[in-house]
Amino acid sequence: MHIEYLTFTVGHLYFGIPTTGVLEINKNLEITPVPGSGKSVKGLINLRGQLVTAMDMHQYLGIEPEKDSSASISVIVNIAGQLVCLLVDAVIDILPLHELTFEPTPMHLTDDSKKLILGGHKLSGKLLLVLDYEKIIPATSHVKHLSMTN
Amino acid sequence: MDSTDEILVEFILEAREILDQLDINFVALEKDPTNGKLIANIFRAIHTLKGSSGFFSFKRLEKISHAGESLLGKIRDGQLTLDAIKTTKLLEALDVLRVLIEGIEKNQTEPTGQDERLISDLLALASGNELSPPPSLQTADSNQLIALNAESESVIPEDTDDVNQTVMSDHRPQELAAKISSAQSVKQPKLSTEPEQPHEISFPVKVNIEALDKLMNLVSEMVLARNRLLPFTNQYNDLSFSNAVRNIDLLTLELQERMMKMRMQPISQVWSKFPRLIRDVSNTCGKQVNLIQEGAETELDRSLLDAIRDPIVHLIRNSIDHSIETPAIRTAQGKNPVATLNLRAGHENGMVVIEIADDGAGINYDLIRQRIVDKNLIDSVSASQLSDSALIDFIFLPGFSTKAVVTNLSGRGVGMDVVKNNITNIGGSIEISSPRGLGTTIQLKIPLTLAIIPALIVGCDGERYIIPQSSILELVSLDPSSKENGIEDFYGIAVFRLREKIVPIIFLSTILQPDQKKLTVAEKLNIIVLESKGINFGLVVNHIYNIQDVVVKPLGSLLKGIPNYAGATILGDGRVSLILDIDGIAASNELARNIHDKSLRYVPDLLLKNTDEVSILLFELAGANRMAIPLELVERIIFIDETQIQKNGNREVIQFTNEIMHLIRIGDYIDGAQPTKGGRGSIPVIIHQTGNGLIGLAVELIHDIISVPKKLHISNPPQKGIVGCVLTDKQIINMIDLEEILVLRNMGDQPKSYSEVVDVNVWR
Repeated sequence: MHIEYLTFTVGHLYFGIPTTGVLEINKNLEITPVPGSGKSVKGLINLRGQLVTAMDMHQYLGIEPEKDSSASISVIVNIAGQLVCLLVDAVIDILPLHELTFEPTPMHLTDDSKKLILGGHKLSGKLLLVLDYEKIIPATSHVKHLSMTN
Repeated sequence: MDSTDEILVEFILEAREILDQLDINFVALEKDPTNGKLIANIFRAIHTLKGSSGFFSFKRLEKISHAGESLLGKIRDGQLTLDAIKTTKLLEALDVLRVLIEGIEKNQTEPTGQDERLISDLLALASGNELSPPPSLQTADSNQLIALNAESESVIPEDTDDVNQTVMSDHRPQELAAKISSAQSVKQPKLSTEPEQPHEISFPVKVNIEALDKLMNLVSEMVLARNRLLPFTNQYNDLSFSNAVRNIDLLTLELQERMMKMRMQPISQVWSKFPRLIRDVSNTCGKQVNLIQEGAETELDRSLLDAIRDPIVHLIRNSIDHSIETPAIRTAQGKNPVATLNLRAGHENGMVVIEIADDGAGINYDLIRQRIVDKNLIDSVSASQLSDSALIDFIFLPGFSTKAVVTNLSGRGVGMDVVKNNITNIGGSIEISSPRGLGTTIQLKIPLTLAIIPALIVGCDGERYIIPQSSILELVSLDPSSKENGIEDFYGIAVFRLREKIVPIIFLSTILQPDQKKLTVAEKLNIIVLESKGINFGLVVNHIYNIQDVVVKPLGSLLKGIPNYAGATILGDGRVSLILDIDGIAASNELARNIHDKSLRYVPDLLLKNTDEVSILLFELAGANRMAIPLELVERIIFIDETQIQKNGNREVIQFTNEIMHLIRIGDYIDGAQPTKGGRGSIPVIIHQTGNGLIGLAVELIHDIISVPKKLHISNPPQKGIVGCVLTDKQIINMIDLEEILVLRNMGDQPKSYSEVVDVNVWR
């Protein structure tokens, strides 16, 4: 069975996510920084009236940014009804890939990355890493109970 | 339209909806006659209709629906099966019901008619009997009604409204007379059932909230698109183009306003039912309660309105049942026998705050303590040590009740935990305060997911931030170098005096970037005096822009847990701006809280403060680390990059606010200091205003602003570039001699010894 992947690069690595979760691809969106947020959160984006959290994929994946990389391409994905913008270096292609070429996570990535990668597709000449992008929003993110009285 | 009419209109709308739904359900049922869910739906719908018609005493409606309900009930319970005869009968009943509803709509009263046949048929079917239907006799009444209805429909175009209009607009009397008479003659025969037709009732359209949200987003986008369009009118001086844009502008504005209003509804929608509730509850408890409502016009998102209804009802009941005393006790205590229950609503910090306050006995802390021990939650020793506010927390435990006797109002212990859950589920909070003997005040804070709040837009570090206007007390522009009213050091905390009250200040940029280096003090400080939970503090921002209504949007789950923000909004130019959570900022900045607590004690000392003190700016030079300049001589402090320094002949200059500013590396002119070296990146520059413009004094590091006694110890022997020194508790600080430095520099770096100290009073 073939699954269509949107493929992109972050630093020197080649990633793919299933196109089913991708809403759109955009360029140079204006980002409002959120001081005090985690390093991997780049800020907030206004996507036609909707607030979208922009993730710096270099920081998130722990990949050193290459020189002159601006990570200005926004891949907007829908994670459980919430829109998240993945800032990547370049979008490459949309590839239909067969599950037979799939293999588990290679070991040469950092520990952080290993948790975030589902596995890899062996393509001719390079390896496509399948990003577990749904993990970006932690499953435990529920509303904290406010303290009642002092 | 009076209130009965309104209720009637509601009834008609509801009845029509039910009938439409029934039509669909019956059709579906014919295809799937054993579908129990459908039958249950139909049964419930007819039951609702019966209930409402009983309320209006529409007897025919009530009887027919009752008979239909009996039959359906049997079918639902499986005692009978639905067959063609029963379906036909039920549909027949449905048709009659529809005719009746239409009659009521036109006439406000039920049309007369005989339904015995239909009813007896329905009941006969319900009791399991077969009908013996002589087809010719079958339900003559209902048939007649249907026929009448058909007739009336054909007449409708000629209704009286139409005629009246003609009377007003038409000037040909004969024709008119003919028209009227014809209209009347047509109307004559059906007088009994279909007389006048008054106004049509317009149907509200039920819209999915999500659809509204999407529409709302589109409208905001539309507004932004409009904003981008507006500047073009100035570029192209085309009148018709300008007009078209102006039109779009106005339309967008109205669209936006209406859209925003659509979801918001006043809280009075929930409250309007409370007077009755309070009357009933207080009667049951034998208490007298006077209800006062404030802020009933506060608007809240529709879905939130539904969510807070039950909690508030519960809290009101609690107040009356638990807190408020009986008139006898109140009189004995010298209180007004009629208790007061205050319901207040309003916006506060981007939240809707609803307060339910009574003047009753309040919470019985001793009873709570007793119950805690009784229930073995805590041993009696620890319980006796619990503070009142700690005891309040127990109220929220599931199953906790202080009532010994269970009444139908309260005492079952199902309540406060559910109330709390309901409120926290929508992101709100609940607070109870009950000073002993002073009644209970319960405060609900409900967030506004889609609320529009007036807010102040401020600038800091190149970004705009939003401060909800509700927490702003005033805006102050402060000159930090002014001796009268500058920033003062209050035991390590920056404060300023606002009408002789000490107000601590915090800098927004340090809150946002805590690891940022020492602050630069600008020439003017924009201070926003804020109030959070009774604490006043000043927030320093770079710019103050304007006040604007903003739509609060929640931050996604990825940005949860940052106390500084209450949400975000999209500004006119399409950029996202963060909304500051003033309570969160105050809470996370403990200093602000501490100083407030202390301020009462310390204020007298500060007012008596030695006026013979002066503020100096402490800085460091290479090789000399205790240098200072009177703050009065400092215009402002900036940081420049080494690369910004340019050469003008043999002088170093930098460009500053479109002016050329001379840069002096003052280390070069001061004994003991080493010449300032380059290649350091960011250089702090103290800007001083002279008669000829600005000059910048490049230093190594800027430390602090401190107050020192106004006593200068003149250097002896004279030191180049130093006028003298001042003493603080621990250290000796060298005051630079700015005049001399300037003179030295203007002489072109030629060494010249001064036998006398240039007579400059640095204090002026």
